[in-house]
Amino acid sequence: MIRSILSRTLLLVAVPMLMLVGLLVLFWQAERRQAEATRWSLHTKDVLEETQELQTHLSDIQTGIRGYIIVREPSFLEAYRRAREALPRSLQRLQDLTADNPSQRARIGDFARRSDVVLSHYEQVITQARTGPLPVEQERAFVVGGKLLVDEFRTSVREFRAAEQSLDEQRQHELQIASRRLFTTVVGGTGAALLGVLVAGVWFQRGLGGRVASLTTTARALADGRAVPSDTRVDDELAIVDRALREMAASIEERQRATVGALADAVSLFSAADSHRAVLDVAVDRALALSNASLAICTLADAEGEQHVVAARAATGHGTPAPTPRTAFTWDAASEVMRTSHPLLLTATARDGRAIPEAVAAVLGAGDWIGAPLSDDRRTPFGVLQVVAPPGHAFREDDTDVIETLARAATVALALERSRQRLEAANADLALTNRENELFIYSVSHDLRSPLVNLEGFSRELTMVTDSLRVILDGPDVPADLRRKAMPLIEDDVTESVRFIRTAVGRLAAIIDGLLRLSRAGRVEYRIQSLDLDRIVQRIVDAMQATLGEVKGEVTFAGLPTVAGDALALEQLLANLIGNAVAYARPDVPPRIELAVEPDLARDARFTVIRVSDNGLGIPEAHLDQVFQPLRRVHPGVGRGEGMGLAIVRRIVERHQGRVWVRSQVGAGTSFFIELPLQPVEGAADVS
Amino acid sequence: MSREAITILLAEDDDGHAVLVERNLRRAGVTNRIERARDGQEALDYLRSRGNHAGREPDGPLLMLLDINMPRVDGVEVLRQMKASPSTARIPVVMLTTTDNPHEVERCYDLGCSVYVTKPVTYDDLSEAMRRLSLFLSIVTVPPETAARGGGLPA
Repeated sequence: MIRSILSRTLLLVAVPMLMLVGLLVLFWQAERRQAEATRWSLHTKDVLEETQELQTHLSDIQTGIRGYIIVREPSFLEAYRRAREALPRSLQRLQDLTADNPSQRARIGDFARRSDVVLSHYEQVITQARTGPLPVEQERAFVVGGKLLVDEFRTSVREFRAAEQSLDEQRQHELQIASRRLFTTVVGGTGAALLGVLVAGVWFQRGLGGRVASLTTTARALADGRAVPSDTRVDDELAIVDRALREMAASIEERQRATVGALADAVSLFSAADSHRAVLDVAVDRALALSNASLAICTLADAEGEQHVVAARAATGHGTPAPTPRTAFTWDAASEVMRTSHPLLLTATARDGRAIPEAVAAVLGAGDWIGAPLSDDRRTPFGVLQVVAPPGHAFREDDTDVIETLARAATVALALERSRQRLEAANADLALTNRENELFIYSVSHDLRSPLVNLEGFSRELTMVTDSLRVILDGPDVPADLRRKAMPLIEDDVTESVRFIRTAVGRLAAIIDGLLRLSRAGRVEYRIQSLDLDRIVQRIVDAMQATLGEVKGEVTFAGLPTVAGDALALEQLLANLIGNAVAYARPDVPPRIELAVEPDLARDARFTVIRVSDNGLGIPEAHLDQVFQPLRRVHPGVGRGEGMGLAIVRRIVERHQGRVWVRSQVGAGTSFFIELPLQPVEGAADVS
Repeated sequence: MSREAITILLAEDDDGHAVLVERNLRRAGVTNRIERARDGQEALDYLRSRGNHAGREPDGPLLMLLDINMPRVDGVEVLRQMKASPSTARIPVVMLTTTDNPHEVERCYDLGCSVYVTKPVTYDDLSEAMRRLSLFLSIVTVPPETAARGGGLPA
């Protein structure tokens, strides 16, 4: 089986060529035959003409003799003699012409003998006639005898002519047959050649077309990144192309994978970087690795457009030292990158075209150069990430994309780092403010307690005084008139006033206590440990048994996780929430409180979320965002407390680095979601 | 050393508090002499017979009711100085304050106070605290060294 495309192509050309050569040979043969036939035809004509000449001579001889005998005119004898001389020449020529044909040649020999007979006869007649007039009978005998001889001769000549003509006809016939055969051969050969070409073409197309189609499929599949088994049965030129395609795809894929992997590495390194400096170090480090460069630097531009090196890394083994930080230089290529916000690839040759300042050459060496912009939040470049290829190594066009991507990632990392620092500062501020607030609340509440002790104590004193007064007025020596006037004052006015004062004092005391509790929730030191929430909730429920029994309340919980937290704080937190659920139950609806874990709601795997749901009054949507504020009471007529519970809940959750949020529907119930760490989180124990 | 002979030194800057404490102690049956110091400095002066109390002759056993938040010298400092000086180290000290900060409480016990009583805001609680205080006074006749911390009295 012929597989090679070259051999197929050669075959496709060779088949018609061979057929053409065959046809040419046939033509050449036919042409030769034709020429031969023509020659023979002319030859026959010559023979026939010469025969005609011979016959003329014979007639002249006969006529001359006859005339001479009858009129004895010597002029007749002259004609006879001319013909008699020409006759042997004619015979000689015929003999020459028929040299190739023995039968005709034999006839020519016969002609010669007969001509000798005829001539000798006539010579005898002439000799007789010269002697004088001949008797009529003799004369007649002579003439008749000559006529018989000549007629015989003529008959022989006619036979010769007939034989010659028949020969000619036979040759013509053969020529016709040959012509017809040639025609058939040419038509058939051409047809066969065409058919051969057609068959070879189809065969070629079938084989090659299939191969090209399979190659196209392979190319498409490779472009789509799918693996295709290679056809090992064929080994033609397309198989070489197929192998080259696969090698190319594999090489591209390998490069892509390496690039993507390296970029992913860069991103994770970026995310781990904890300062701008670290981000830029990662950027140059990765740029070096990703582009096989000999040198990578990050520069920041000043107002004059001068580039200041802030991070640099040189590959080992190239001898190019990394420039020291704060090395400064000005270069229009870097400026162009900054101006256009687009990366730029300059080959070493292109760099030759630009006048490189000494300072730049000293920093950047002389190889291929790529610069990509480092931009800030507003997309205005503030610096350039630059790489230089080692001598003898050229950057690829896609190295530019890689460096640009890296520069973008670095930019994002820088922005994130900036945000992180801002956030940290804000958090620190907030923590400080919180601490200050709590200290302030603590000292204010504390100072307020002192006068409250007086208010409470002396209002009680007043009550005791009125009691004493009442006893005095009830005494027997008090005039009834005085008693009647004084008693209402004591019973109503004083007692009522004191009651109002005492109520206000009680309320004030509760508020101050709440504030103190809140400030303590923020200030008390935590001891973070692993806590089984099931056990904590069980403890709370046990402690609340009496209250729950009164309202026929029910708390269900199971499978609560173990979290990292302060035992007292978390108990206070859950007790507050459960207590609230009982306090804000709907009238005549026994509270059903459910605690469940909702890990999917946590921000990440380090945290979990506890849901505390009730079937209570619910919180109007307008108040939902206020429930965690201190001194805010959503249901003023219901329950007790000063609106500190949820503020304390939020504070405790925040100090555990968690979050708290609420969903509620009025008349259906409320769900609080508490996010808590599963493992100790850094900073959780800080008083913040 | 009879119980009646004990003098109670009340260091309290708030007059109202002083009156309330004294009245409730009396109401609870305490008949001891009660001296009043208006701040920490005066309390120390009293103990050392100087300043306003210069020339005072030590006249029997003392018990200190000490407020913490006072101008000039606060109660904790008074306690510290008392416990640092051998002449006053044995005097039983009852801390009487509005603070219930556990750190503060712990600090006072560390410094050697006998009892720590949080001044309750409500009258009933105050009365109860005073009643317990008088009970404490009735058993404080044992030497100060063995008057264990709190002596089983709740704070």
